Amino acid sequence: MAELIGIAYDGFKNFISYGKYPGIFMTVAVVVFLLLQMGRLNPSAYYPSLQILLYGLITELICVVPVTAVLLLLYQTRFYGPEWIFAQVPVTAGIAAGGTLVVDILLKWGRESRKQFSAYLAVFAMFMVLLAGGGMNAVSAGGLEILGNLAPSGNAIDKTGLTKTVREYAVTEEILEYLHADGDTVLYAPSEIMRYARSVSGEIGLLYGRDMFDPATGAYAFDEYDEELTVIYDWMRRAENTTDIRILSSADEAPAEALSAAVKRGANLVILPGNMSETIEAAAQGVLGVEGMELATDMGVYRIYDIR
Amino acid sequence: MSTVIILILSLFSYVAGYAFMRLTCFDKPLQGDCFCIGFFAIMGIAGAGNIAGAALKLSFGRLCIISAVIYALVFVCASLVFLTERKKNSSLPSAADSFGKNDRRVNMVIFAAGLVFLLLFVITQVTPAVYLAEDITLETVRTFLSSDRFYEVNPLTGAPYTAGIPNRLKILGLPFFYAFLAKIFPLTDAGVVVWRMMPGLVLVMTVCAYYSLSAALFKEKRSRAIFMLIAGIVLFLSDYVSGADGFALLQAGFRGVSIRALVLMPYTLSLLLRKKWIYCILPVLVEAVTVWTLYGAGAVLLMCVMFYAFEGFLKG
Repeated sequence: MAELIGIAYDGFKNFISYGKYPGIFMTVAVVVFLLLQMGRLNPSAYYPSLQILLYGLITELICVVPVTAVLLLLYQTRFYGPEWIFAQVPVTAGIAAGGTLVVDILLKWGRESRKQFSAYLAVFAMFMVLLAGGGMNAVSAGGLEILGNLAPSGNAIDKTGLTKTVREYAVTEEILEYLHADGDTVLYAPSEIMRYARSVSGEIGLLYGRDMFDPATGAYAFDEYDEELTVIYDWMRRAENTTDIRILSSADEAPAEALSAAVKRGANLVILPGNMSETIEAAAQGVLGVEGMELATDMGVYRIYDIR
Repeated sequence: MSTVIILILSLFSYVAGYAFMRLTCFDKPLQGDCFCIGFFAIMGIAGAGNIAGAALKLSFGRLCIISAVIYALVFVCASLVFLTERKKNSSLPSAADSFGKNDRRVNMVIFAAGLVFLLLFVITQVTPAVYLAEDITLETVRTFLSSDRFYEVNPLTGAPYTAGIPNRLKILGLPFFYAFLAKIFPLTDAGVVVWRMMPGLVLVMTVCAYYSLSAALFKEKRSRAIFMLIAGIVLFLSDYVSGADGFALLQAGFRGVSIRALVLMPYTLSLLLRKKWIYCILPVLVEAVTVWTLYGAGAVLLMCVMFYAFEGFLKG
């Protein structure tokens, strides 16, 4: 229960961290109800908008109060991130409905009191608050994955100055050149390539999927990986993340075990990171040579080994 | 090509929605109703096809042929109803619910709102940004296309499943729908269908859903225009975290949760405000085949129940 409450709280924290629209929504709703109390608003004329605002306030409270937030999390089967429970709150509709009411009241007040300039100024200020309260591009805010500039063919274009993800996607596309004609390619590569390989082509087979390092995607199947595959993945993860020869040369992490196991389990296209030390590279080349594979191309960032 | 598919699907939605509303004697329908209900028909057929394919273990190719025939039949029948009814009575749905002729200031607001939505559309079509965490939609689509099989191959590895998948997953029709589109429009890459075309279509339906909501909320055209402008700005600038509407539109427009947040929820709200309770079944069913929530009893159903209780409380 404590864990669930923690998740619900994290969801709320994430949801309000970068933008202020949930707060603006609540403020707009409170302002409208104050205007209602002050008699500046005819409730019968704006009944549906008031309904939405009240309903939105209640649902926002349900999403914020930990106990009800946990119930909602369970209701959406904990499959989606905790932020998604806020989909229940009509934030956009609420701000738009409340904002329209405020604009209507301001303009009416401006007409009646002959202070139209002040009314327009207030409307302008309201729109400024709206613009300032938002935020563009979750990538810069939260470091999320982004993939841009897809050409009609699905190829990533403008390969200079692309984000890391787009570059990785483009490299993964280049690997397609090495797909075996019989459609029987099984790839073993660094995770940045394994991540996009199946998005780029349905023809390519992988030794293990994205769920190995992105556990959330594992919810789509009951399949699990055995110990050996975990060792195979673990070695590649170390190889792509370090150039420290001492780490990669230690007895239990030498390339022999992982690479031969990978080939024995069906990998027939192996890609190694290009920044490995010469010693490890030579050892890996030796192991792959024994298994019947040879260097097909050196891309600099990656070295591609294919079946002879 | 992406825009062409969006136009075709929008036309289908409009004609199918119009026919459905005529046949069910929908009272005072709007243009937005036609699009949204037709869009639900598209999603519903895809969901039903997906369930049939998974249950009967049909090959993907065969299911595509059957689905294409069903879509064609629905379109032909709907077109006949559309043409007959338009001849009989051209007032439904008509300019009565459009913004129509207004004064200069209202036109300016309408123009500004249109500009915001146009900009959003251009962004979805020219520089799509894709949020991939927790999502395997494109992998699933490519797996359907390459293996010609349904839920037998693990989309993440390309190898057959060893322990299988949850049954609830087999009900979700979006991957099948995308793969179906990529199959029947062979010039289009599956990546373009999923990451570019679908966010564009979802945006079109979002505009329709919010327009229906504006009409349910306000009688005056000026208020509706202001509502649409503010909604457009909020959608544009709420692209800051997953779960926010703008993020759903601009970075995850192809996902079921986004369709729910952007189309199903606001449209259901418009139905609830207009007290068209019976029609709320449609978005509830569509959510069941698009979003993995508690065995079909999703957020839209919860919203309907809560709103109904809320309405009773206000009256009581």
